[in-house]
Amino acid sequence: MEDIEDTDLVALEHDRLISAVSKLDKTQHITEPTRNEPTNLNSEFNLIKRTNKLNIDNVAKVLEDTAHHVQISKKLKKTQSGAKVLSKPLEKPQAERIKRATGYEETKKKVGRWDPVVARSRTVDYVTFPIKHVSAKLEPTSDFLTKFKLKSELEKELEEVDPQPMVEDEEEEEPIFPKSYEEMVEYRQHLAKMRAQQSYKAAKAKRQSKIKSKKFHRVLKKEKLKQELKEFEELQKRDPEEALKKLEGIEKARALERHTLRHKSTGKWAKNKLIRAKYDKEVRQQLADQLSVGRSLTKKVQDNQSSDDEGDDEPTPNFTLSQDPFNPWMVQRSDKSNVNAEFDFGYKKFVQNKINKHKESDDSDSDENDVSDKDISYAKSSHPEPKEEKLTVTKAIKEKLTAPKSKKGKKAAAKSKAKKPLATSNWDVETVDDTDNKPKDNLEYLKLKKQKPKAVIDEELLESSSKTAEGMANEEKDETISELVKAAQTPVQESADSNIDPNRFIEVKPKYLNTAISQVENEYDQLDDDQVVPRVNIEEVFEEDDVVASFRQEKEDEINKDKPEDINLTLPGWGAWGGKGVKPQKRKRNRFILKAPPKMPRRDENKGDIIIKEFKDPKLAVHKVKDVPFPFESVKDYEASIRAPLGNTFIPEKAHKKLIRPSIITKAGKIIEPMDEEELLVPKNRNFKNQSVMKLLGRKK
Amino acid sequence: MSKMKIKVISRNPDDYLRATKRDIHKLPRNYDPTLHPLEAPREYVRAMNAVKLERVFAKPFIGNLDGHRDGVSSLAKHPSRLAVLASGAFDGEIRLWDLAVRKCTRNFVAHEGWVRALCFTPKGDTFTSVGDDKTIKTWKSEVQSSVDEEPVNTLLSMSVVTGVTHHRSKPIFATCGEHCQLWENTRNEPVKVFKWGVDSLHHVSFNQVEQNLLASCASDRSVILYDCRESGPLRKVVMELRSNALSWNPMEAFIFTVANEDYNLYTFDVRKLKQPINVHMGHTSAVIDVDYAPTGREFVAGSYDKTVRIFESLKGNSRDVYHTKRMQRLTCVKWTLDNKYILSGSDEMNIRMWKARASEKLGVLKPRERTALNYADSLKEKFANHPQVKRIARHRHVPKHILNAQNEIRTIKQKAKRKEGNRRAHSKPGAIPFVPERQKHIVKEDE
Repeated sequence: MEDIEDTDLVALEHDRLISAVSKLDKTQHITEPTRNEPTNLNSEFNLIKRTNKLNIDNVAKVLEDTAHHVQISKKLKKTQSGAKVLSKPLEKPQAERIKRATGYEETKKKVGRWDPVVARSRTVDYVTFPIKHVSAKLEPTSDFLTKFKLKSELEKELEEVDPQPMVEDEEEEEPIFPKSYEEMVEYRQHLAKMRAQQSYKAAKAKRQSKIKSKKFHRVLKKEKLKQELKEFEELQKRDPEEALKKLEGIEKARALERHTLRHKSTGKWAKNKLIRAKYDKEVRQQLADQLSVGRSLTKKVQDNQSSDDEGDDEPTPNFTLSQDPFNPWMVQRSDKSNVNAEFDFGYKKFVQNKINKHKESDDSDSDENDVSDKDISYAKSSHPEPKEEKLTVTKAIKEKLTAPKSKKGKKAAAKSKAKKPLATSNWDVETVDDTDNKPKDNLEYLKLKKQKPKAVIDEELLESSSKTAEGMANEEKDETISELVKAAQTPVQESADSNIDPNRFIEVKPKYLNTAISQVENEYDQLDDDQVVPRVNIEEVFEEDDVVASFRQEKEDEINKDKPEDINLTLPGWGAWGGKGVKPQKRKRNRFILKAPPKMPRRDENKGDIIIKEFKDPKLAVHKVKDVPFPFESVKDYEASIRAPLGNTFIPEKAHKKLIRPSIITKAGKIIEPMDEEELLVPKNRNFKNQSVMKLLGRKK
Repeated sequence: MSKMKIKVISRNPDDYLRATKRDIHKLPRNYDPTLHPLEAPREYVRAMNAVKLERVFAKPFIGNLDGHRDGVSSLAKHPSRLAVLASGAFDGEIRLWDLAVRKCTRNFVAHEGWVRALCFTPKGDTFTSVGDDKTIKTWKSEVQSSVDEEPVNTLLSMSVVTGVTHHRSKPIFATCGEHCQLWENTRNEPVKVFKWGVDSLHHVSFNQVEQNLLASCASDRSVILYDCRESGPLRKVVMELRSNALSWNPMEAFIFTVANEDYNLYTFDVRKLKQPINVHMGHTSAVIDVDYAPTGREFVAGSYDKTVRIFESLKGNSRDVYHTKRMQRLTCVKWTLDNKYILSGSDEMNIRMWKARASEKLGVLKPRERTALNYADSLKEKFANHPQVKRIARHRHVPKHILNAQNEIRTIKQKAKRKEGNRRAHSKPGAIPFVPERQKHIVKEDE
């Protein structure tokens, strides 16, 4: 302890001495800071005065004494004199600017790698997040090998005790020696025989199949069936297992039948039969047999053993079946008694209903044809001369569907013809001005081949506080209505909101609207119509609902609606006595009644059963698109985009699914990582070549 | 007329009866377009209904997380766990939240003064906070023992640190304050210091795609681009007013958006800093924070005008605006990594959780339901330009102060426009050039 104190004392005194000595020298000494961490920053407080510069003259002076050193000193001096002095480095700000500029150029180039990735993701129809990378990397060999386990000691010992049977490689032993000549010949002869027999059999089968005799085939079939049955019975006795297998086979055939359309009335044969069935009872019988075979084959076999999901597989109750005895599909059994019933589809139902309604059913023995004849005559007598009526009605309806191509509309069209592109339908759409200030270089707005065009709306939200909302809406409404009065008519959609009564449309021939939809006529239907429904009187068929009267009523309403009315401005008691029983003066009455302007003749006044709507519905104009929205260039394009339906009511399910796929698909609860550099290597990104987009992305301003 | 024949429908029950009760009902369809002459009107009606329903169901507010005893100053989302959120307040407290149950899991006072910024490390096991007390502290995100509650690492900085951001893959993070500094987790001193000018920086952000790029916002109204390797600062763009925050697009390496004091947001391309590629307008006061959706298609902005607005990154106007009566000035916003929710922190001590799409149905969707919703969405898109659909879809109720501010801004803009028009009309043609909106707000681009 004492020693340490002593040394401390000595050190203290030594320090004091040194500081006293150093005070004699007036220059400031700052101790060099010691650091224990590497850093590239020097604190301004740690700066010390020190010169590292080496003066070569001084060095040379030391060496001047000896001859050997003279040489060295000369050399030294020579190097100093001959050395080129480097130019002064640039000022720091300038140097940094250069550094920044080069760095920026580098970065620009580096960032440009992402162009194809970005361009692709912006232009494809839909993107799924998170972006998955399927790594095509192969596993390193070492990793792969680690998966193989070593056998434990116990396993090894066990194996020694009871060696596992070696799995021998079953290689087909090739016959070392080829066949001898005789054997070869024999083999070939055998093959030839087989082939010949095969061809005989084929020829026979072909011949037999060409035989038209039905009896022959029936007999053949029956024989075959019998044979099979016999064989099966024998098999059952002999080898039950085999029989079971066969049964399975039969079951399989049944299943196959179930999902083919055999034994239905759709085949060629059945169709031919169906034509003849009207006249030939036997044919009917055949058809019925056929159908019954189909049914029996396709009927689901009820499993005796209860299964778990019994409730699910339970077929829906076929309550409808009993309801409609005339539907050929619904007859449960077919025996001879209801063969006729099976072919009683179609109009007969209607006819029979009529019979039930109007006639006392006394004798049902009479022939079918007879009955229908009577019925029709009955119908005729009860409704004298309805034909013309019907025709007019249809005409009227047609008119209503297509009519309102009004004067105003024409005028407007003519007016704007110079500027307007021709619309494919008579929608009223105006062109957009070219001075559209929409940003053109945004990728979203580029028209790309692959992308389905979408309207881009980049507008302010219509923001309102709760009080002002109504006011704004009203204002808007007024405006639109006033515009409306001036604007041209758009008649297309008018029929959309009218009350559609299916009855009224029954006899209307398809009216083809003026659209670009392909209009393929269904020729078969047309033909059928002519054949089966020749000029039915509408009133006869739809006895209960009076179509004509209701149409007239409608017209009446329409006329009344548009009729201007007198406005009565009389104030009872003004300038005279008023009250009960006091009649206003005639003079006053006349004075204060504003006469309505004389009724303009309606266009449909003397045209029979037509309604021409002369004023357009103001409610519709609000829904009209005023001009072509941005990414679309022509009215035609935009119309086409609207016309293409999306719903599965109008297009097949698959197309529907495809069309409604959202453009961004994310998974719930999945974290979406930022873009990875691996995306640069994905072939679809690398191969993305849409030059216009890429150029736009990389363009310098 | 001898015979009358009338066609009556008779069908095969196979065509319309379902095999089992669990099947959907069979609906025979004839897709012949001639049979559907009114396709478009029918779909239009459906679109109208869809868009109305969308507005009916638009209830974006999910809930709020309360617990802070001072305004929320910063938020940070966990890189791999959706339910974890860290928030810092003006009183130096940090809270960790479990969003799924809306509970605070942990709270502690981390700094004296503000918690200026927070950021998680890429693995998510720790997070870094910087405060007004010139310290940079690293904390464990999960606490197993009492030792874990202490900071893992505390770094002392010479000057105030106002922002922090972590490199996506390397153990490097950057802070800003007086200068932009680059730190390594194991060192006590910054590895690099990037200086450019004398003005302080208040926000810094690493690019997540091109991982060595970072950008910061300076108080001299500029946005500075850096490379964290040799080159250091790269370029500076000076705007009319200062930018408050900056967010990089996580899917597009060269796109970033800044929230500006002049009520607008500006989207820039790194390669064309002379003018922004898009100006996003809509706020009526300074925009304080911005954050991109993980899909990179949208971003959310929080403003001093007490609203949160959602913008599509390629469009100039907002898609939606969120506000509640009690929400005050926004200080920070975040878009969660599953692209479903938005989190906003505001002055009045609450963190609010919103749906990113206001009318989206949360929870499991059955396939048929999803199909129906998708169909409704695509119909809305198809008829988006029809005036009624547009009107309904884009109508929002906003508080009166927003509306008034908007009117004011509108009049100011109109006035400026009129004045410019007048000047143009009364001076030599060409003397007053037309300056596009995008160029108006940029003062210069510095090399």
